[in-house]
Amino acid sequence: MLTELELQVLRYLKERGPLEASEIERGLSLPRSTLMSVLQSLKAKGYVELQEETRRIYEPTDEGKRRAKEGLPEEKLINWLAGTPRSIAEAKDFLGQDFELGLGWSRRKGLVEVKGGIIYPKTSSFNSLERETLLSLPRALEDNLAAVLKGRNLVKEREEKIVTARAIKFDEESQEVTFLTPDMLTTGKWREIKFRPYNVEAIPSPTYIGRKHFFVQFLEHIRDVMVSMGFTEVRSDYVELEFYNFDMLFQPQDHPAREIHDSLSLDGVGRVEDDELLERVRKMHETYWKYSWSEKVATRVMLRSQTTATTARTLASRPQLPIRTFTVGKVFRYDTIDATHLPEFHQLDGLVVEKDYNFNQLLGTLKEIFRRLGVERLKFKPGYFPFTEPSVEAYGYLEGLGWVEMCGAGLLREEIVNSAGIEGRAGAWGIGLDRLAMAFLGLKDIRDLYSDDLRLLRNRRVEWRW
Amino acid sequence: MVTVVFEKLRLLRKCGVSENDLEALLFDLKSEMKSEGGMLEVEVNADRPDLLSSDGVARAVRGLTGKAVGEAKYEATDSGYTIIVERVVQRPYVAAAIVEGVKLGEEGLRELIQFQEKLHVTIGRRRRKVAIGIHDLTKIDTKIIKYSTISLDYKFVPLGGEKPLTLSEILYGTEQGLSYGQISLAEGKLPAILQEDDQVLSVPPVINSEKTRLTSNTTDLFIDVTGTSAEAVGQTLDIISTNLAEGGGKIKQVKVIKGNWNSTPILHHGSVSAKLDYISSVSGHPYTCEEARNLLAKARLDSICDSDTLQVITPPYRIDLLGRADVVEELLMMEGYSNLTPSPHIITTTGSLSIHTSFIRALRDLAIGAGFIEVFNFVLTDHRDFKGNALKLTNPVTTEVNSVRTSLIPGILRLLSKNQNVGFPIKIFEIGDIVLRDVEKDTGYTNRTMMVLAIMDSKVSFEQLQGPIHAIIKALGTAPSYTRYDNSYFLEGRGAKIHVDDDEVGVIGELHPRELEYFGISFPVLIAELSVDELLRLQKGG
Repeated sequence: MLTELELQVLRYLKERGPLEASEIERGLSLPRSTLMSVLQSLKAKGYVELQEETRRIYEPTDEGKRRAKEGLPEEKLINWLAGTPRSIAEAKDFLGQDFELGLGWSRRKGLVEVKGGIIYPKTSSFNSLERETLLSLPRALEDNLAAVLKGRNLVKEREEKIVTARAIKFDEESQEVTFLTPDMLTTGKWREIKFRPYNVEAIPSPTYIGRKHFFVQFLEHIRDVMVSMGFTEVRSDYVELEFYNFDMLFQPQDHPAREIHDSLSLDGVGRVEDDELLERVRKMHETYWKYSWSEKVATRVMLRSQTTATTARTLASRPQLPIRTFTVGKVFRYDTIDATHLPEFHQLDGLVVEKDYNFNQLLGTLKEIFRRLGVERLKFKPGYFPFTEPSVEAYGYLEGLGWVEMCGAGLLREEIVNSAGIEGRAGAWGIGLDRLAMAFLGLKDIRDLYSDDLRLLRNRRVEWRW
Repeated sequence: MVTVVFEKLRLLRKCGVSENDLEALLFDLKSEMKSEGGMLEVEVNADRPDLLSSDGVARAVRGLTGKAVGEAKYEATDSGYTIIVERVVQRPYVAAAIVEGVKLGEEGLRELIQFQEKLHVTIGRRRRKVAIGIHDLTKIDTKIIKYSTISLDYKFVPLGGEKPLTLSEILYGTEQGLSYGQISLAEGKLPAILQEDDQVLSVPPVINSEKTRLTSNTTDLFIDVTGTSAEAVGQTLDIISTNLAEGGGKIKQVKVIKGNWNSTPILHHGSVSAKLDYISSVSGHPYTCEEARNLLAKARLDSICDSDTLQVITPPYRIDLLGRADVVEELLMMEGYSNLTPSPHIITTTGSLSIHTSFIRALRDLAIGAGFIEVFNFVLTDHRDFKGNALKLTNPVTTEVNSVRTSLIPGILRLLSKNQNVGFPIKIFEIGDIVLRDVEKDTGYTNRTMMVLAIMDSKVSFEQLQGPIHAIIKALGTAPSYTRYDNSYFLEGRGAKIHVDDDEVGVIGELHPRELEYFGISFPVLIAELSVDELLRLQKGG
């Protein structure tokens, strides 16, 4: 089989007959190295014959280059005389160093006669053969001319290899056409043409297509599962007041988790815009934790440490019952960075508020969520969270990993629901999505979820089955 | 969650169960355990400080296995000791107790000190709220103990020391002094527990005196608890006393003069009630009063049935039973969570994604269709990449993770600089949130969702990126236009603002070599950043 380039060169030779490589190079605008490898390949396949010969060519020396530009000494003399006799002294004056050579060569070539110190020109102008030749270099020269120019130190020689190519075979294959054109179709000419087959079995070079990020897809899948269960998505901002992240969620202001060591903060002071809510929460704290609750602490600004803050915001907006919401979002903690910890990660928080929601229903909802995520075996463990009572932790059984913690949940403390002015019972749960993704995707290092390796993102198998 | 370490055989013997059984029983008590050689590491939840010593664990386990049910009651007689409380403004509350006949031994001593430290970390809020001093009673010379303040030049031999040091020297020259010395320092004075003859027994919350050092042979203990919350101080002493008594010790009361109580330990009993209707409604299971009482007895709690109400007597070793919801949880725990019957989830509402998410999905599909690969960068960043214009954290995580991003562009450039040899053209995009200041919001900040697209290649032309973006914006049913925009990020004459109608929706340009150099990028880059929020607003009809 012939490549596109081989066909091109072969056709060129067929059209124009045998050519020197340099002529093909110029005609097809191919670099020498490419052309030579094509010719060798065509030769090997029996389509062309190559002949190599060594040619002697001549090129000007530095002296030759100068003379070609300025003129030879005898030319200078004759053209200066311009048919008028002049004294030797004057000539010497004009020609300087070139006088000896100029007069010598002029006499030898029969261009002048010298009598009694006067130079009589026989012609009024002169262009030498030597100069004409110099201007035509580099090229091969007949031996006599070469000898003359060499003698006058105007040229130097070098050897050049000339490759001549001749097409010797032009069979069916080389007559095959690559491209089907509209013209062929409209004229019907295609019927007379044979189209060359392609090397369809060769693996193509890489094509980069658009790809979705696998972890973003995971988070989208989580959203879809919650929507399929009848939940409405809600959102809130990354920067949060301690009021919604902690205070409204029954976490006392002196709780260790609220110290500088655990949350990330920005500068600035916020404000709680709902006075009634503020007072209810103050009362909640002072009644149960028996300390003096500070609005200043509650309005400190932080990066939210849990998506339960979004649940608090949802409750604070006092929606109508029944409430069934979920949120998927980023949370932030002050943490050392290692294989299982990052200062930013993702959580899912879910909320149900109904008139008589109970613990068995909460467990049932959790079972269904994980069943839809592909975790069939779930076990429940008593737990503790500041904002729920009763609380529960769910562990799911994953092949190859055993029992893995899946989520924390519970019935929200009635004090919290009451402080929001809502009459009903609430269940809430939070799932650490990064850890879940790691378990599902078989990753050992949390940082792999955020890989910035484009080779990986381009080549990673697409997750379509969750 | 805190982790306590117990000697395995000792704990199993006290509990009277096998290792496997203990693991399952602890699971039902909100705990987890891990075996490490001859020791057991047990994770205890913050609401159960009574489980921070082996005797406390054994008390709970005996209830679960039925070996001992109902409240564990401890007798207390008068010790003959008194503590006189002076005014200590910075640490007002003190309670003291004596426990005699404690069989410590090496392991018991280690465990007692661990118990004290874990209480310090949890209820004690790292000793700020509550601090505990435990002394060998036989080494205290007087029956009258004083709680007052001493000045910094006071000299005594601190625990672990060989010669007397002044309080100043202790505060600024010892580990405990440096860690806890400032907590209760006020006007050059620190609180102190003293013998009648003014010899120092301890300087809470810093350190004890060497005088009353505990040894494995100690059998009689004097325990002082000081703090800033009367309730927490009382509770802490109750827990320590009852745990020690569970291990065989005898509680002896200490009379308190001028303090918050008449004598301590208080051995507080409270009461929490829950109507049976409430219990059934919340748990989803109807309990009779008798059923409930029997279950609570397994939790070592006594309760009384009063027609339709269950009244639970809260013992001194349980500080977490505050309301009726806590009663329900205790019942369900004793029932065993694995024995509960979850109700099938019934779907009665139609779920939905937020309009924000739906719109982002459309943008993602369009970008993928244009051949761009999605990337996912971090929100937390280095403000140096933003020429200082990121929102700085007041407590940075590391030298490189110190701010919140205010644009998606630097993150993309960082990623490109790490991927210069993966084969061109490189076409990437990201949709994510940034944070900006916003005085209208109650936090003073707001999230903004942005979309960034970038192309890196050996040679780039403006249309290479403008083309797809133009097509994407048109696909949204809006018509984009462009105005020249020169700024330091882009090569002069190669930057533009993107508009839809009169609104600015983004910027696009070829990156200035100065920026490429900063990020260590050796190839030209085209980049565009669009506001998803703006594009969405224009979708809704303005």
